[in-house]
Amino acid sequence: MLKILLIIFINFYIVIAQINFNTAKIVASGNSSVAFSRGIESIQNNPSNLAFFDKKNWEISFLPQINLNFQNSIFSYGEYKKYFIGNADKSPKHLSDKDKNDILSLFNSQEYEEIFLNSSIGILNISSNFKELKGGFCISINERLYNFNSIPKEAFRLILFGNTLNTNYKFNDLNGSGIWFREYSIGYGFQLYNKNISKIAFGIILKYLNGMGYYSIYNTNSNFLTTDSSINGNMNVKINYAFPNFFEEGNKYSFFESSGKGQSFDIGLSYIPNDIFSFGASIQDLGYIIWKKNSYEIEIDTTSEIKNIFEEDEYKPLKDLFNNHKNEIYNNKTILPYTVKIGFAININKISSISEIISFPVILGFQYSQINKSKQLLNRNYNFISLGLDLVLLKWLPIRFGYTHSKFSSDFSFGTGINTTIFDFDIALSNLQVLFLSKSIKTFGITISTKFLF
Amino acid sequence: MKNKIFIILLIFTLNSCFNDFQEPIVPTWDVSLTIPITKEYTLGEILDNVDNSKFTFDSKNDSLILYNTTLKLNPISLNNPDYIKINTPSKEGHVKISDIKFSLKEKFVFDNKISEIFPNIPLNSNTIIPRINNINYSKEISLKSFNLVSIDSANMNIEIENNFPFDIVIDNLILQNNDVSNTSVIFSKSNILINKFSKVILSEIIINKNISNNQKILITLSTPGTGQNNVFISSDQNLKISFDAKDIKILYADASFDEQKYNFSLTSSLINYGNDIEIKESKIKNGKMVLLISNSTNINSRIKSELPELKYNNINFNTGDIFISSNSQIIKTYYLNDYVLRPQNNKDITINSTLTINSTNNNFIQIHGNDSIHYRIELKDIEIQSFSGSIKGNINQSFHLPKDDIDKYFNGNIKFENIDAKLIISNGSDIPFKISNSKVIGYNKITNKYENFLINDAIIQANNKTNIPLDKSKFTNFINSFTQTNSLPDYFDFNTDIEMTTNNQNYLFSNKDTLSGAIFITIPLLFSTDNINYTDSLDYELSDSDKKEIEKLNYGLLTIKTTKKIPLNGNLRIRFYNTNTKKTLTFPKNIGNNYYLISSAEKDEQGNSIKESITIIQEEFSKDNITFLKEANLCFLDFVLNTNNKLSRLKRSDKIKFNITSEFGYKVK
Repeated sequence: MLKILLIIFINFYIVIAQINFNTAKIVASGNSSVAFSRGIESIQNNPSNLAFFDKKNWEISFLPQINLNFQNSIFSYGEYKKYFIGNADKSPKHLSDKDKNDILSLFNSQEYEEIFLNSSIGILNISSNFKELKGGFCISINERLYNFNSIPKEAFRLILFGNTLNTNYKFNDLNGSGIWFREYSIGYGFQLYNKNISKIAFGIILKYLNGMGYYSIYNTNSNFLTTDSSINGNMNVKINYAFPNFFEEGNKYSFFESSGKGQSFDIGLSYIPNDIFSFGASIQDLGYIIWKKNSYEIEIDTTSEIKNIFEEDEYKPLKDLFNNHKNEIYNNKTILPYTVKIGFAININKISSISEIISFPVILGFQYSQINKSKQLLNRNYNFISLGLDLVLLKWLPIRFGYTHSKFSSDFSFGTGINTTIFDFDIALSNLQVLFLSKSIKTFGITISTKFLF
Repeated sequence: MKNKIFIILLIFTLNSCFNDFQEPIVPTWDVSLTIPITKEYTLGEILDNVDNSKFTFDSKNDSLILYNTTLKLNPISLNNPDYIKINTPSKEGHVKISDIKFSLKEKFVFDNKISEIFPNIPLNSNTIIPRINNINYSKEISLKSFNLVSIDSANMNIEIENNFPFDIVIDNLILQNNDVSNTSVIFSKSNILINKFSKVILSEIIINKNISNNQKILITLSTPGTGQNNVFISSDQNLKISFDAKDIKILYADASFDEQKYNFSLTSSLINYGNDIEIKESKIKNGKMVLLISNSTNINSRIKSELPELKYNNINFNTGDIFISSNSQIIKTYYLNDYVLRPQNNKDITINSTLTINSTNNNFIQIHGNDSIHYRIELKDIEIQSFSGSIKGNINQSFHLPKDDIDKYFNGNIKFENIDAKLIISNGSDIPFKISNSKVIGYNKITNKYENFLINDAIIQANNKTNIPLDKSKFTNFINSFTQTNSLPDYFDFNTDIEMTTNNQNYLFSNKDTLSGAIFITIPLLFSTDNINYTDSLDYELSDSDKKEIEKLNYGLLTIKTTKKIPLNGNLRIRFYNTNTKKTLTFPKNIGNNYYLISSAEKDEQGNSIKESITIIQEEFSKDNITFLKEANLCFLDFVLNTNNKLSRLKRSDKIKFNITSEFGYKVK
């Protein structure tokens, strides 16, 4: 079982390394565009930016778009190549004690490995801008999924070395959560103030949420100790989960089937004092989902001492532990972790001293983001600082660079595309090191997006 | 140009990204799994798992463990001839030819005319016969009914009929054979006076004579004459002398005979397991009489027997005529169902028989005196339906102790203490019976040892159970006589005589007349031994999935710490055997140690454990060992237990605690 956990982690890594998708312009500029996103990008970034005209009045994205991001805090691509691609003859590499110690030393002082997986499918996104109204509307349907898992270092030690007599293995940092929901959104951004070139805009997007399922493992306080007379375990954990009917065997998938219902909204504020600077801030996913079907809670606080693991009477209570403590709960409310973004952008080519040198548009963006903890879905806050550069060397060929610093890693992103008057195609890599298969890669994402302009 | 360079760069970088990426191959590694197992067992728990019906405990005696076993006496019907057997001994009789008193078919008749004896006396005239002395006369005859008869003895009847008109005196009369080679005298007599017109009958026993068919008489005769009286002399006047041999005890005969009869009687006593029976009257439910007749003579015969003590509707049992050809044998079986037996003197049966030698119908046969007819009669397998009087029987049943129990618990030299045993016998009948000469015989086939345990005589009351306590000390010695040399007996025999007596009434048996019971044995586990051996074998076939898992083990280290409060030393050896390669892996692996030694708890003089002992055993398993264990398919556990020949008292609360720490190198793949 312990091994399986490790393999799951590795396999996630590989899957993400081969398939990734996100809103390309956002990813390419390192998620720094809260102050300068426009059109459809505003839906995911800052609804107040809907109020500003871009190239065309209408933008539509209707091709199914998959977005998959993976991040972890310990393992890099270098470790993957070292341990997980086998020997030259394709036989599995046998980890020596040194290898195992090297893997543990990757943790340094960190006591747990964090794995963050974020995925979304853009089903339909439409934005429109009307100069007459000094504002713009959007509607969208998106499928969203993200999960967060934290595996303690002690678990890796146990997996790699086995249980040593009289060693107490603590798993207090074993946490995990994940959620899958579909959001039906409608939003409006409008200019509150517009005088000369100075503008202030506000935007809001209201969302109706169909909760598909979620899980949450938290409040863990567990340990495992082997003595010469018994295996002692202490487990204190709370687990919540819900799932739609079609997860049960024999039931067919239904697009409109869900386990919970909810609402959320995004709000945004933008301020453009002049042609050079713009400021933006948004709060996203302020909302909740109430789970109504197949919603369960497992709360375990138990201590066990197994003197003979081969006797069913001794291990059977553990075998049925989860079932015995499982209770169906009704109308369980899950608060979504909301995100706060604040940033600014500089149109460098508008600066008089530079405009003489650079004739093409160059936007430099900065953003601070914080994903806030929520009781059941995220056990701590996560912060990011992003810096992005959006260059349009040729009118149809943008080039974007970004830098993101997070707890996991500091990565350079890169993107480009073909932008025409009726069609935008963009591609981005969340980590520029992917291009060189750098051994230090810990995060990875590819985004390809399209939209039609009218 | 810028555009082209950029596109080429993009293609190159993306290509390198996806081409260089290598598919994952899951690594393998070794982990060390430590599994502690702590288990504490009391002897009570162990024995409860073994078979709690066999082990109980003595709550009054500090929970001393008791082994209980019951030797059940299967119910038997008391009137079953297997147990209450009535019969007669085989009674035999030999009837020799020489035993039969034969008669010859014809007399030896000498008809002597007056003219032959007195040729000078005128015939057909009146004449005075003068005194005449010493007339010698002889006459010869030939007989047709035999050629030769050799007699051991016979009663020769002689009839001399004087038809002369004057008295005569036969001074000498001789009957002799008249063959060339044999002129021996058969009979002689002197001075026989026979008056005129009268006869004289003589009888004489002759012994050891051969009589041929040619006979001659020699007579010396005188007459006193008629004095002065004239007597008429006619030619038909004669002197007729006839010899008639009767009651002939034949040594040999070549002759023809008429029918001869011979009566004989036998008396046989009913027996009942070697005891004299005392049955006033009994109705027979089943049973038979067997008669064997063997005729080794040349004469066909008949036998008819009658048993006056055996009646059906007040009519004596009768065999009717049984024909036996010459030189043949016949066996006759008569079923006696519903006959009533009224023995003489409460035990004797008479068999009255008549042997008839058939007529030879003028045919000559040769017989010898020693030729005989053999006669044998017996009453067999008499199952009685009712009786009055007293009958006896013998019951014998074998019991086997559970073999598993012997192998598991008592296979060794053990000295027990205070074995408790009792015999309970149930009597289902309406009359009591007495058991006597009762004993339990034990047998051990390894040592060929027999031992008897004698049980006191007892009266088993009617329709009741009777508890017969067995002497504890003697029974303990009886069991110890086996266990101190090898093991418990392989089987026990219970043997007893029973005697049922009616109170001058006729007792009718029914289905409820049964005897049943059991011997209840309680063996306290209070004993001394220098070795109790126990070997158990287990089928040890690992599933494929188990084998795959074991294959992942690289080494093992097993540490067993026992904390023992059982007053018994234990030696343990574990053998794994591969029937394909015929190889064995034995633990302990150390050649110097045959067994793992688990020492006894300290005990007091009464054998009670008083202080725990601690033993630590450690064994390493190499990869080769693990591979062997994977392929092995039999496992033997050998235990040797001993008390150092000092008394040990095993109680339910005695316990042993195992702390097993197993550390395995496990390859994760």
